[in-house]
Amino acid sequence: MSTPWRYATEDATAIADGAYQLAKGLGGLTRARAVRDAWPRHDRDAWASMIEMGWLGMLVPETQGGLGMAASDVVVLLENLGRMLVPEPILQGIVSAQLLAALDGAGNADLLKDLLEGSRRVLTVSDVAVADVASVRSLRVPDATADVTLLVAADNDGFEIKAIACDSPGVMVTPHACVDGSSLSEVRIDPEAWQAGRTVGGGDPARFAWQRASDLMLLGYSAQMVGLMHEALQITLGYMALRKQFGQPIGAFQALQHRAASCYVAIVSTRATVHEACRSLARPVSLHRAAAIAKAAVSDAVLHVTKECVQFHGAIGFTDEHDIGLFLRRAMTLAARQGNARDQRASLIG
Amino acid sequence: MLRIATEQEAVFRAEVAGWLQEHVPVSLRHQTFRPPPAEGMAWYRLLSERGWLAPHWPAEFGGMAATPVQQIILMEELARAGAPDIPTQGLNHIGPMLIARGTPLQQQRHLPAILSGDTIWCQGYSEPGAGSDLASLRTRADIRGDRLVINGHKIWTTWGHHAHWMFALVRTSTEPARQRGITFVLIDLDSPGITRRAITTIAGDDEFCEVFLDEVSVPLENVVGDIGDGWSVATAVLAEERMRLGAPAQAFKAWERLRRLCQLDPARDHADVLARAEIQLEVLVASYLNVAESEVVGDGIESSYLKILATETVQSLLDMACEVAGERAALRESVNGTDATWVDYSDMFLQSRRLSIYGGTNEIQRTLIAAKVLGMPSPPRSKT
Repeated sequence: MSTPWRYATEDATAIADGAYQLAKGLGGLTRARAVRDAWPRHDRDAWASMIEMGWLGMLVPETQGGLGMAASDVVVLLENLGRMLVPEPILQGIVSAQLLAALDGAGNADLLKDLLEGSRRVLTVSDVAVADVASVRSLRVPDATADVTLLVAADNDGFEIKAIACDSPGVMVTPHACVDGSSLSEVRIDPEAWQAGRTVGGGDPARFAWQRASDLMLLGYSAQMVGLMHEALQITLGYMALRKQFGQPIGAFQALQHRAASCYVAIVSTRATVHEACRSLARPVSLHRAAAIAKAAVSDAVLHVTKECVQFHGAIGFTDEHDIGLFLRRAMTLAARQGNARDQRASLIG
Repeated sequence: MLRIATEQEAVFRAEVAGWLQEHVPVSLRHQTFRPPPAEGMAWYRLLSERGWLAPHWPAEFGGMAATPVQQIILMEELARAGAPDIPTQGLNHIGPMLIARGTPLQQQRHLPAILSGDTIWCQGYSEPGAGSDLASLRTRADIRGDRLVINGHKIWTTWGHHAHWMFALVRTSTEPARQRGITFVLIDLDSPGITRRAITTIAGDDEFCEVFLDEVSVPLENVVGDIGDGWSVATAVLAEERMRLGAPAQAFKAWERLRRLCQLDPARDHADVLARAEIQLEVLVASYLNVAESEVVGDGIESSYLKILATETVQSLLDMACEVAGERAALRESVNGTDATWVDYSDMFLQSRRLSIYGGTNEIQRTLIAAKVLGMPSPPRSKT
């Protein structure tokens, strides 16, 4: 596309450039492919670089050791990491850190410190806000590995959030690989393990903080999808300008031009929606509605755009060798994660 | 809107909603078609007197200089109240053009009359042989002394049969660079030599007409810009026009229609349809605000996507309305809504076909985006 994204502030531009350059410097799409094919995927050097950038503390107030930035800054960051299909659970880390910071006072400072310094990975389990403590629970958790501590919430006898390490006794993690190389694990926590887990928050403040974290996750996934579909279309436009058939670049054919233009409409309009949704943060009800709408709209758009991009490439797009397929795979994963478009619509109605 | 309204915005919304509730004529509420001048212009004047007619005009020309959010609030509340459509060629097209490129004399003569509703304008661009390829227009204007004498045939002229004046593109020379021989002129439709014939649309109303010009004599002072410079005048406010074509006003109206149809059939579960519509509407509103609040660069070609998005959102919402109406979707008749105002089944669906055609078809918009925004290679051109 001839016009790069414009950001309203210099800070945002700096975040965008920093994120994109780091993602490229770490290996870009080559790394995304390598990590996809590795199991379990975890690039410790990449994670360390991100810790060093301080990104995990973006939503943590400066007084608590964070950067004290806005959700709109996180959206900018994730858009640009999304362009390079960065596989690290950076979003989960950012949201977990802000959740721990919001719950501060319950003695979570060490947990937060470990997370920000990179000595422990703490991830929220945001697709299950309500779990039944009395029975053995089965959760779907993205990117759970042995060195991860989960923040899990349960909603009986009052709202409670616990920090439970994946390798503690009574916790069983069964990972399932996803098409993009990430994983979705079934995690079973025995009642004894739940009891033994460390409580990091409870009651209405915790419920409020958890809901907010969950909505921030929706916005963050949406931002990643915006970035990836933008990049997918750019790669595809480059290919369409070079690939010749019938004596001309295939991008000169109007049938393809109009479909590419439709992809552009889908990208810029849903991107505007994600940025607009960042202006709803001050009120929980508004935030939830905005985040669900953004996630629904972007999830539909990202699948449309990446499927079109594969089609525009023709046979080469159907090969594993070509990078465009990586974008479709990531789109499939993120569009489904924490509720696809249909699930989001249901939550709007709910 | 997804954003949280400020206190002033909430106050403004309440003020608008309250006033509309009281002042929108009950007989005109929730009508699909623009009421003819005899029925509708009183409402236009009322809106003008209240100061809410021209939200996007600068204050020095009698506009409201409203923020994008205020504009959205107005559009949304007008639709909710079922306010009828008003003629927009003056407000959205020639008005901003004269503000940008008109002489002080042209501004003084025409702008107040647009705001007061004394002059209804129409646009004389399209011709039988010049639609998407507008620069091939052939209506001829010869300079004779201090006058232009015009001969030709304009068509698809929205509200041309109700209008008092027409702003038109005419050919003043046949240079090879086609766009350079075009002049922008204001024509008093009471001039001798003008014949108008209304054209019934697919929806059954007389929304547009054709205009025949036979030796129509117009003073040269009615030329906007220079002779031969008409293309640049017509495109001077393209970015602004794109904003109007891309505004969610009609989408809010379609949303109301959909909701009202759902209310007529409360036994069925419409929740998912409504959620789908709500999401599409919010994507459009967010896009409109995003463009309106960003600095427009050049001709605003990047924002031309709004026209596609806005019109196709309306059409999509009305597809959903058809789905909700079920077998009744093809009925010609209208029914009384739950609040005893009209809900038609088929009119708005049929009428909305024009949205993706007028103002540059959506195919032309996509071609423009492919070339100018996406930088795709030029398609092979057959010789014309």
